[in-house]
Amino acid sequence: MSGQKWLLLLTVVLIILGVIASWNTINLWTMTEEEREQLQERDPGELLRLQQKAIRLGLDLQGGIHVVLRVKMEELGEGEREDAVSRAMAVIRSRIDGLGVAEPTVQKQGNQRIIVDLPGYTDANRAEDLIGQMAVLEFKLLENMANAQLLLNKMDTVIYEHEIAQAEDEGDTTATDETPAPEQAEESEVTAVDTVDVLAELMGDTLDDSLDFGFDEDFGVDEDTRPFTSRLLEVTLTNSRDGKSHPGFIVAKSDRPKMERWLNLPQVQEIIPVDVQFSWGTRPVIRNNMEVYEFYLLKRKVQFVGKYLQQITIGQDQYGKPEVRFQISPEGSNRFAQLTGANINKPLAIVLDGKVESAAFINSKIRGSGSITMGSTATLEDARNLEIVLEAGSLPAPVEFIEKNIVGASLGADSIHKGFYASALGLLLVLCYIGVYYRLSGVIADLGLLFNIFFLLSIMAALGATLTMPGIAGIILTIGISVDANVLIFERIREELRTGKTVRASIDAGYQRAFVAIFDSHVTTLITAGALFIFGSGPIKGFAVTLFWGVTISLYTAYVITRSIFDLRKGYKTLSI
Amino acid sequence: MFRIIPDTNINFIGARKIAFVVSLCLLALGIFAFVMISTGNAPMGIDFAGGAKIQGYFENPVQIDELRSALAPLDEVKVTEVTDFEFPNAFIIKSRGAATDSLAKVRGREIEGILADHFPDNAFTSVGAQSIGPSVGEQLRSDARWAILISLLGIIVYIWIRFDFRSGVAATVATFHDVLAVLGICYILGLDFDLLIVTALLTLAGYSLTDTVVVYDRIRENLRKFRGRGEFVNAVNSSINEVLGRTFNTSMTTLVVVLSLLFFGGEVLRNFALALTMGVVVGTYSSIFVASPIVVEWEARRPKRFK
Repeated sequence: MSGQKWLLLLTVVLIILGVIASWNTINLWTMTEEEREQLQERDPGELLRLQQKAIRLGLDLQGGIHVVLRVKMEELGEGEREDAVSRAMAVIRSRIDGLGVAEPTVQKQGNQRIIVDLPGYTDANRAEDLIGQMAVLEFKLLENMANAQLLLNKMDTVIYEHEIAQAEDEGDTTATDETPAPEQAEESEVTAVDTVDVLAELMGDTLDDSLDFGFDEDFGVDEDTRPFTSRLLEVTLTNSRDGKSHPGFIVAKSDRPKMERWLNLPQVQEIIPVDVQFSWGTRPVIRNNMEVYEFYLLKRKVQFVGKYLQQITIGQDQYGKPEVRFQISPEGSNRFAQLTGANINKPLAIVLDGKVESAAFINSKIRGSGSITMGSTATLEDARNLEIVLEAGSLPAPVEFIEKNIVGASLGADSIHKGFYASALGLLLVLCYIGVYYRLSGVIADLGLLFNIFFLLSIMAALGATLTMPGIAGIILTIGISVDANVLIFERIREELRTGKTVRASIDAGYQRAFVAIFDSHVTTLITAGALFIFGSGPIKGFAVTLFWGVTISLYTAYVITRSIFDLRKGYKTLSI
Repeated sequence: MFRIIPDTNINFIGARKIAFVVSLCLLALGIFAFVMISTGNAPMGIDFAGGAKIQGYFENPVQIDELRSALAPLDEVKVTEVTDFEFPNAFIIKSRGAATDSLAKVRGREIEGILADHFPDNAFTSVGAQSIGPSVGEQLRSDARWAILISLLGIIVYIWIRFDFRSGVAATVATFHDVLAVLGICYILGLDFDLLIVTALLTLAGYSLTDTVVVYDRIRENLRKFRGRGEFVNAVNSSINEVLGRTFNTSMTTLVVVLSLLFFGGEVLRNFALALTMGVVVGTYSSIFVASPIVVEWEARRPKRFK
């Protein structure tokens, strides 16, 4: 009998483990809509934790994010095209793994498209950020200030001429509507005040040799004749050690669209030398309670690339803001030492997909490690995103979003409700049927069936499995198998009773004789489930997982749990069956 | 003791000639359906065939099932609510067929027309129609084929070891028979073949196999009793009769679940539940009238090898 005590103990342990494993799921699923909303307001982190630990529902049952991307093949050379989509998929997959979404699907569609499904995930912007960026990380030096000023002068002249020409054009066509909008006038007044500082910075003692800016100092930077320079509010990169300035500026957020338009003018593009480029900062920064953008003039030459970075971690800079730290791999360390050694006291820009993530002065020769400071507005999530994309590497080609949707469950919330109630009704009917047909024994079997479903859900929660419609089909089949095991046993016991055996002998013989049939039928189902799991993919795999565990548990509940209850009834004169 | 099925002695094996004719018809139908599906002549679901995807929004809120029933005349339609669109009441409507973007636009106009008729006071604005590819890729299909092949081989080998070779083959044939029969009936009923139907077919294969193995188990047991008397057919027949109570009860309980899915599970699950219901009926039939009679016929042709 000691064997049976062990089994009883095992069952108790399994039940406790099951409750622990499914605790979050039970909590989440038993919540009403209002309770969930209340929790969302009170403690959104707690709700998120619950959702992450509960059994996840697939895109067909609970919805999530569905995006379709196109790999821009036309931007690749002939030789690179062949496996570009597969490589892009691999990179995207490892980035999504960083997000921690269970059972994401990344699939190829046609020759150039990739479909990404993130069940249960609703942060579309972050998903877009992570999936869509090329994540090409480059280290670049800045152009010197003297050349920058020469270029800015030329650009001012060209843009000034362009604006005059355009004003004349507009004057011809819309001569009647000449009054400028009042806000516009106000805005330019404000900017004019700000520009006085810029002038001081640009013209002041930071410059080695005074350059002719072509205007009278007393009047400040004239907004009409110096349209571009007048919008650079401040020089941000002045080295305190040698007092030298470098072309890093800030620009008011409201001015950025206009400046981008100017930068894209063909006549402006024409005068920008091929070895330099203008780049914006990745995200706005706060200066004097105002959102501004950083704006840099970089040398185009790539000095160092992101593939040499390793052991990427998140840390905090001296202001408590997140930064991303990295080690430099042995292959890259000489190059990095050379680069930093030759450019001490000059700024080095870290550029991600053409935008400047950080620009800081090189204080000494660096060999082994570094960090990317991310500015005052960066959040921990920004740092985490940067960490993920640096870890996963860059995409082989740029991608564009063809579709990006937060979708409801693809089977529709209404049909899931119906499906849920129909399954519950079906289960209830089964319980009644078995209870009526086999009386008290049937009630015991019902108990076993409920245990079966409870254990199955616990295991799925513990495995972090995702429940999809095929998975629910697996559960239905499990109900059938579990009932079948009990029916087989009961029919056997009845047969034995009919031959006139005692209750004790009938129970023993019934369990023993039914065992072979139950074992064989369960094993054949396990073989099917195993093959489907190993060789199948996607939804078929989900079906196989539920089926596999359902069958295993069914064997356990029939031969351990319900049997131990039957053993208690062996002394009875008659058996309610 | 409450019994629906009393002790019976029905001559199931005697009826095997009729059963074989019925089964062959079902098989032929199944094979025909299989060929039609393989050659792309059957109504494939959006999962497999792709189709048109139309996105748009209504002026006022719309119940999704109302929308679904409005679009029912188009044979396969999937409707999904979009929650982050710039307008509220936005939906994605997927409809089968339309291999090119221009065909998808035609379908989009058709849908706009239907919706305008059905919701005269609630304008539907379409914001785009394009053609989409199948979501079940070639990879998944070939994976599934391998998985099914390997599992069938595994089952033959297992039953061969536990019973004998002919039982393994017969059980596999019976399982195939069930899957093909349901496939054939689905084809006749014009159901769309999508991922849920495939899942239903896998489920019924598992179900049918369990049924068959239970009968075989009883045959194996009874053959020991009947040994030496040469009454193979009797042994098989009484085995089927003896497990009839179990067969009936298990089928009934499974039917109860799938029938409640069929009647109360809503439109989306209807085809799935219908395929499963047929699967339970055909699976029960085959364990009595296909799997065991094959063994009997096999035995009759090789009487010397009877142990």
